[in-house]
Amino acid sequence: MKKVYSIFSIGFFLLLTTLTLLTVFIPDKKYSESENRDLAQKPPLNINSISDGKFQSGLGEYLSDQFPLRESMIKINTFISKLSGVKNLNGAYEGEDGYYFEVVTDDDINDEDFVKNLNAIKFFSEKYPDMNVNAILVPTSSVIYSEKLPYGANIYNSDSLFKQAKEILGNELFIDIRDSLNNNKDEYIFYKTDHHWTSKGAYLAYVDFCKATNQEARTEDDFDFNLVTKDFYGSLHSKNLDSAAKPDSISISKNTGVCNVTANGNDISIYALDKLEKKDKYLIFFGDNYGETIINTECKNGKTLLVIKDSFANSFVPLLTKNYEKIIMIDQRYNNTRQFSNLVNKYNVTDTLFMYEITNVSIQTHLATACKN
Amino acid sequence: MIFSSFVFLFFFLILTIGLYFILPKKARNFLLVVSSLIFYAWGEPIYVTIMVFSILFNWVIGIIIDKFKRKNGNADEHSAIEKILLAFCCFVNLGALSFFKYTNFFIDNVNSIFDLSIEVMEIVLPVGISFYTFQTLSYVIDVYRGSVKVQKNLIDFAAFVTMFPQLIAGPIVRYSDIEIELTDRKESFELVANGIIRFIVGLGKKVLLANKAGALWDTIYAELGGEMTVGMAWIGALAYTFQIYFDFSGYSDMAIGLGKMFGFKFPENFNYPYISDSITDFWRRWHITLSSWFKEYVYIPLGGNRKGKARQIVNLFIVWALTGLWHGASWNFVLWGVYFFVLLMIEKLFLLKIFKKIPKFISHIYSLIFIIIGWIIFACTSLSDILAYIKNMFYGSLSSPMTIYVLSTNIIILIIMCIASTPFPKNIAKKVASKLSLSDEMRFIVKATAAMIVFVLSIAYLTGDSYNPFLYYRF
Repeated sequence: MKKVYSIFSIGFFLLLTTLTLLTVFIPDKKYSESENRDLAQKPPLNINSISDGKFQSGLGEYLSDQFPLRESMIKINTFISKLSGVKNLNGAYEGEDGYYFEVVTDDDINDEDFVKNLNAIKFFSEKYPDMNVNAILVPTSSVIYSEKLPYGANIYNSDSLFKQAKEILGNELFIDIRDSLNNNKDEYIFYKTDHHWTSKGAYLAYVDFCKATNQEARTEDDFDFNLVTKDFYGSLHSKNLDSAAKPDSISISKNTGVCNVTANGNDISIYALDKLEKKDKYLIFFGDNYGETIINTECKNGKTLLVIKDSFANSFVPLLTKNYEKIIMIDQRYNNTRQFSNLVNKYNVTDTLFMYEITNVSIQTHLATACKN
Repeated sequence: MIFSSFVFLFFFLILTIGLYFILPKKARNFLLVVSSLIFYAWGEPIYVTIMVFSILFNWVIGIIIDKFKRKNGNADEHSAIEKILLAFCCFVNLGALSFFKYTNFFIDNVNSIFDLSIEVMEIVLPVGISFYTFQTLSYVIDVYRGSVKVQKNLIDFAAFVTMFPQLIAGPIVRYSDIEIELTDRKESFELVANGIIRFIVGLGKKVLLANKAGALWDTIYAELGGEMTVGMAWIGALAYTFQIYFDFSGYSDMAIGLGKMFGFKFPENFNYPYISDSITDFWRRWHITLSSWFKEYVYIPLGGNRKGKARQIVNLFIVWALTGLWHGASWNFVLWGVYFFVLLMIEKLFLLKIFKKIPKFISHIYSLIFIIIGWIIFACTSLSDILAYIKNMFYGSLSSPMTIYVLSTNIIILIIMCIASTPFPKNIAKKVASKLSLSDEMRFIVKATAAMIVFVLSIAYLTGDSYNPFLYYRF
């Protein structure tokens, strides 16, 4: 009997110790691809860091972030959650047919800020009456495929948001792409494991955009969309590493014409093919979200488009390279532009498009200031 | 520092256990003191000083009282100086506790009664102060009474007060509980092995059950005045009922398991409270060390039931109001205590006699309903929330899509928690083990294997989750 006790006691602490030693002595990972964030590094150990508590909190984060079996643990946790009937897997609802939906509720959307930003967009359009100004607010997949959500799951009220957008912006400024997306919902228009839309979804929006701005829309054949990967596990998968998730496919249109692209002053290309080796393959579109991206196209029609955006426009803008001579993309999360008028003057902007996922509108902190100045 | 964390499991615990068993027996209490102070100071370096002061003060007072006791010939009738010293000790200890815990509560009440606007002070409640204050008081009072020997060794005394297993959230270990073990205990592999298993049981309760129940409660509580249906109100109440039990009893399990590893036998704190057949029964099964402390050091000194019926009722009222108040500086806690006082009185006066004559399941259901409603009083700090929530439990639409979602995504875990709050699994396991004629060794191996599975799942959860509050942490 004593043997059993001693083997177990010593074995248990040996296990803990081994795990700790592995954590500390295996070279520390800097970045977690699946979690899409930096991993905590060894905290500094000195009088200051102890007295202000940074060592203590840092140690806890370090031990959990560098734990040798971290990903397996997360997978086990997700598996057990699913086994017990849980449908909200760390911020992603597990829906039907392999669809995951980002958990966004009314509490996540500040109504005041939403209205404030819509009014700012309206103000901007009225400030430049001779410019073509449009706003596309992209619905999330949970709107188009609401029937695939778990029954009774708490999700934000998109109808009221779109209604407000229509009322404040008006039909000339606001382009409602929901009908086009709904009519094509049997096609592959949203990723299942990522919160973004597919290139097909972006194409449908492109058609609506051209219609609203009286431009000729290129055909889908003309774009010649080609599959570049079938192995895309997106943002919604990253939240939980669900082993049951089936990967998504990404297609791109290589037929963009020759473009010269600079981002924050550096040369880049529209498609960052090296991102196909990484987890977040949606980054194939421009390689990253930059504060300011300037695209000079082959199309010499004198039209310059300013796009004020979040990441949804990344797969949309490549479709516009034969419609505009110059496209400037501004992502305010990575840019401290507080005056759009500067950009308008600097680049002789002829057209402006505001493009956001509908749930992101309220969190644009500097949109109102920039529109008004 | 909390037990259910990477820092504790993969840094602090292995170092402390390792050093403990390497060091000779004489040095072990010193190690416990040092490691416990580090454990305590880990999150809040400043407030260690208050605990250190409390240790020194009570140690000195104990010695002085003992001296005067001896001078008095250890007579049952205490001399005036002994009484003054005891009163002084209580004043300082309870004064400190009151200052940190109840000052702002006091200010708020003064403000509302006299229509003033005195500013509340920026006081942080030192973690564990409610527990170690009661523990040190038990020591001094017992020395005064002569029921324990004075502890002249500062290290040994400090080990009693600071011991990290029960420092932050109990059980409330009286000095008398561990007096002998403090200086004379026998550690063994058997104790360590069983301690590990007990610890893991507590870890699993906290992390796999309590945290999930807590998340469910938060989700539902947020819908008060919004989307809450009758169905959701009950699911939420159940969720909180389970959260507080698995959280608190889980923590006690971890404390008892850790104590075992070091050779200490801490008192049990919970005994399947939700199978109670009356509220009287419930309080023999819930937070046992607290009610036992109040009985020993408040009820009995007040006279208990030895000064007539009327006085007994007053004594009970005081004890229960204080019990409620101990849980938090807010009127809903006092209300909670008084709520139980009323129920206990009713039971004592006639209900218990009636229960003896009716089927057991009725008294079980009665108990559960009043326990659950009691938790709503405990959970909501504002009176209006309490009333709104209880009303929602009995009035309103029964169901809704959100109700179905909440129920369907939690039904399995709720059933597991129901079963886990009863001795049913343990009894079944025992029956199966004897049917299969398992040897003692085999039984332990099965227990250990189950524990390791729970341990892995707990680590998986801790890795994947940052939601790890502990309800009684600020105590």
